[in-house]
Amino acid sequence: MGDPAGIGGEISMMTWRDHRTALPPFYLLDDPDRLARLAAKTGITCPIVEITTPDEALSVARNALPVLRLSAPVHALPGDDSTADGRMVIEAIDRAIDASMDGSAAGMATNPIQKSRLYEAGFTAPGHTEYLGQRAGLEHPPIMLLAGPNLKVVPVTIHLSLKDAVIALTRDEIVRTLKTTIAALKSDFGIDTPRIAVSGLNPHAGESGHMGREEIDIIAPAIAEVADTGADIRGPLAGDTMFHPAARATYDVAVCMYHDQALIPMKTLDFDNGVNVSVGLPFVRTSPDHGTAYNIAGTASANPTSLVSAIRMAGEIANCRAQTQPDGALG
Amino acid sequence: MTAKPRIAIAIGDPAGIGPEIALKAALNRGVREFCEPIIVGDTEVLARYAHTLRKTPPENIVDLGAMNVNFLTPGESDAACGRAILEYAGRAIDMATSGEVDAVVACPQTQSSIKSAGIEFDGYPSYVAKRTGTDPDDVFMMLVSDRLRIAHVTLHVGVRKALDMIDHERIVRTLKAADVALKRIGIASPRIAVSGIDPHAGEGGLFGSDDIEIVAPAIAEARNAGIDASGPFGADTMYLDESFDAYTVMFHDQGHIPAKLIGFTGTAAFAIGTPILFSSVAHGSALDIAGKGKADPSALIWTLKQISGAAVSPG
Repeated sequence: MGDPAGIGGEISMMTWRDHRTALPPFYLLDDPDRLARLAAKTGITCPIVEITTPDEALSVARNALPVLRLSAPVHALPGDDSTADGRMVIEAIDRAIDASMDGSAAGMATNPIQKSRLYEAGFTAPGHTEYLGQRAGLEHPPIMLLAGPNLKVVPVTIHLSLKDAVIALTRDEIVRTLKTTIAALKSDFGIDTPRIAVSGLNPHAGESGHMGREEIDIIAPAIAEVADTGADIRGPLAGDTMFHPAARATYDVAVCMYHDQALIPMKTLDFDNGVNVSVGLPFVRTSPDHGTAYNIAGTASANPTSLVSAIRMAGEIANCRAQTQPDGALG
Repeated sequence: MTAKPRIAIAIGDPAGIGPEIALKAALNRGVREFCEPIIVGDTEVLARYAHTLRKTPPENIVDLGAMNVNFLTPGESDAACGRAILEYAGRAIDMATSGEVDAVVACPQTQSSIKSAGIEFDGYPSYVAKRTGTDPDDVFMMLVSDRLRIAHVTLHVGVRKALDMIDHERIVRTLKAADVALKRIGIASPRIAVSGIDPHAGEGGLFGSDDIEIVAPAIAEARNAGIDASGPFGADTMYLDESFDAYTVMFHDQGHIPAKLIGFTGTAAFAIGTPILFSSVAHGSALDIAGKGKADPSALIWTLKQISGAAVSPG
């Protein structure tokens, strides 16, 4: 469901209406009554059918949007974030996790949430992705991989102030990110020998220490440690020259040191198609690479492309995992 | 600008490709349609390169006699070339200061030659500051590509040092410098978007308070001074709004990553914040191909176009 005051409901219905035949069967965890109201208000033609188990979605998904009902009604109106639906937002996430863990769903795609609205409902994680890591019992939060048609990027530090990001950037953290990324490219994207490009932190990757020492003291040793395991890995590279087309052709994923370094090229190259993949989880999870967009919610003007890509990619990753790990990481 | 702007082209390293591209640009009919190029260099040096090109040098040359052509070997830059580089640039800057020209474009220099002449030098921008009596801390870099103009609050410093340097005053000074430079190239009321320091510009304080405490008040002060600045915006989505005339970013990569991805036909680096309008050309002196007649003047031509305002659409 995501945040019911945001655009999640309408882009989900638009996705069903326009793209269902090209996507794996999917169902929503939501309040079917509020979706029906939203369809009427926005004029999106999307018949809704209530299901009671995920399996039922397979037979009905072509004719109507299957919805598993949440335990309480959802009241939020588009763009109005004053209603306390936080408990249902969390329940939708939890039930998607359970289904993905027990194998009744091949994976989950999540609509955007507004974290600040969930804290009063007992949400304690710093973000959606970290919450999934807690629920999966991981010691470290999952890694965020952003995938588009032109580029895949992984930021080592994500939603931290830049000051805190510089402090959080340690050799161990970079090594862990690199290893998890390499494993995911193999298992989730079917790339046998992933080629990794690693950015520096500082301009021109520090220019031999003239503009900061993190490249010499932290990043290069981390790269060397991972290269010793036989990985195809290069860096630290200058952030501003590693994204042009000729450079992109030489690697499968770019690992960057902070949010803007990874997200600027991603949004510039693949704004509509970017998908956020949580890497390192025991189940498949993707999400569209945008926010709740309260300002346009309820107007049917939102672009569902990123959600469409997220659902498609969740299916592809699930298939890939099934082939590379036939015994199943799906539990 | 009603009359064509007069642009001084300092020829840069006489042993590099600078004189050749200056000649090619100044003789280019298209260039002469949007500006009046004035080459600042040595007549004899230019005559030598013109001979290779089988061209007659243009009339508008300011001859400094800085370099004895008999001691010049194209491709072999030395201390004499180093001294000449700064004589050319210095005179061009002075011409802009006195109003003889509207702007200066400096062809590529060779830093090692300037240093071997015993002159302290760390790039054209700080030289412009020194020559015009400007505090080097007031000079900023605005990267100009064909779709983006991006002023940088900090540039070639490590991220930790940049975080220390960024404060209210520095952001306000950058915005003022950008506003002045944009008006000089013919944008009457420039609209400037300003990035944040932190991801999503701090997301309302969730990812750091610097954008609330430092960047937002600086933007407010710039607005009070009549500058149409807005933000702070998350740097990753800021460029999607193409309605701005320019963007201002806090860090090198926030500006250089998009500049090199969006419409990457070329970039010019304007030194802004000095009393004059100045740009260098985005490549080096290419000593290996100097004097062979095959240097490509398109980056210089492109820079002339940007700085003369010919790239600014009217209205």
